[in-house]
Amino acid sequence: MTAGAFWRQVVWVMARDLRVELRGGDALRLVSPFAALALILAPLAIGTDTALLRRIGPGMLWLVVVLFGMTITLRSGAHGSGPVRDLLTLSGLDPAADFLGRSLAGAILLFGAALVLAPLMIVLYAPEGAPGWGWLALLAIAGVMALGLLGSLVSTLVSGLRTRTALGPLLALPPAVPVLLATSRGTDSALSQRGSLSWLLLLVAMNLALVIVGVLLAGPMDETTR
Amino acid sequence: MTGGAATIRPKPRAITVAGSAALCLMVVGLYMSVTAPKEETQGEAARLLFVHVPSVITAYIALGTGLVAAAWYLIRRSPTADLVSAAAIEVGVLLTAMTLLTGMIWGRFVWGVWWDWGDARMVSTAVLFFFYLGYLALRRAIVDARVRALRCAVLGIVGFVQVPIVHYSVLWFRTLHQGPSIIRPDLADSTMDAAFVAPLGAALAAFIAALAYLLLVRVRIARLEAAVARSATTSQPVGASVGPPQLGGRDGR
Repeated sequence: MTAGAFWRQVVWVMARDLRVELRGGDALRLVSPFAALALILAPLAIGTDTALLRRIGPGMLWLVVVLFGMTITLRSGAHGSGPVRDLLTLSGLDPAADFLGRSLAGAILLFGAALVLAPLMIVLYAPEGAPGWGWLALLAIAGVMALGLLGSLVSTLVSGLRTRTALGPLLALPPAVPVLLATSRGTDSALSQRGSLSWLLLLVAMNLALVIVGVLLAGPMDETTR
Repeated sequence: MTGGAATIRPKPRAITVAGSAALCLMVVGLYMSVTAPKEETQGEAARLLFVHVPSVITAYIALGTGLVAAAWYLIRRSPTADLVSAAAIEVGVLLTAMTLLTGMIWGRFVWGVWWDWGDARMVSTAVLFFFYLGYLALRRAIVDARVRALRCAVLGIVGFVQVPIVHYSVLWFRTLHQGPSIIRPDLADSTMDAAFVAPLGAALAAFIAALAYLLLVRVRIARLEAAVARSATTSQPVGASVGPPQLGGRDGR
């Protein structure tokens, strides 16, 4: 398969997943309000000390994106069922292209959710500092991409299982810890006008590692879903 | 159960040898740990080192064995490799739990707290532990042996990435935990006093022998479980032994 054909498949899978989301609307219409509710409820549980809330705001945003984002990236879409998978395999869909396409779609949906939640966090928690928008954008893109790749990898491992709703987050959250650390600490640094390069590099390294592992193991993983 | 019964063999000699070696080395290690001199700053709490350090080293070995066996399964699709990988990771989880527990007890005596969020080694070990608990949960959740072996092999490979992160976290982050004193990145000699190296070595040998014993036993149990599962699916159902009514019985003659 040529590189062009491979990337066309990646885009096709990504567009398919985004179309499913556009028609169903689970991520933005259900999960985002749920995550927003968590941002509202958290200060009620930990106290309404304004200074404390200012400090924890960026961390809370990314915690909510990581936790609720798992619901988005681990969703079992149309690609999950056996006959559909068989059909896609017979059509010549490369498992690696499928993995990358699903990861990209998950990352775009997560980015959308983060865009909805960020203004709410700013209003509710009023974090201090002047944002370095460039750093924030790069951190957000690298962060949601890592979560998308991780979600795509784990969703294949738990597809078809009765316990997938509990098992998926249990498997995906421990490796997501570096993402949570890098995005929340990086956001703190960007808000205080310090560079976030080291955190961004950590996210880039994690993305690279996940792409390599995912592409190399896409074949065996695809085999288990048929 | 005939198919399963045929595969049940007497306990292999390797298990007896590994078990005996582990027991003897445990006795020697325990004696040397108790009679080791008192440490200058940590006092008696330093004796926990003789359990904590060997448990983490053997946990790395067990999880590394799980990684190699998982990769071997993906290359050769050998069911034995899957069983070895699962057994090694299961024992690795047990040893990681022991590492966390002894580390927390040591921390309570030396640092004054059970848990310190600023300690990168402690937090990353807990993350590693929960990840591998997820591995064990995934194993239990999948019924089909081939699918289970494939998915767990992938997860076993992905999960091992965290082991070097745990080990080198003390170098990469500012943390309360002291740097590596045995497996050092510059491959230099141990920074530990010689009086503590000998008991630590004995304890490590005991833990490695115990790891070998537990691995062999767990693989054997897994083989027996697989044999029972096979016999359960291939044995004749009860109804099959009852045929349609035929003449020729006691009253029919």
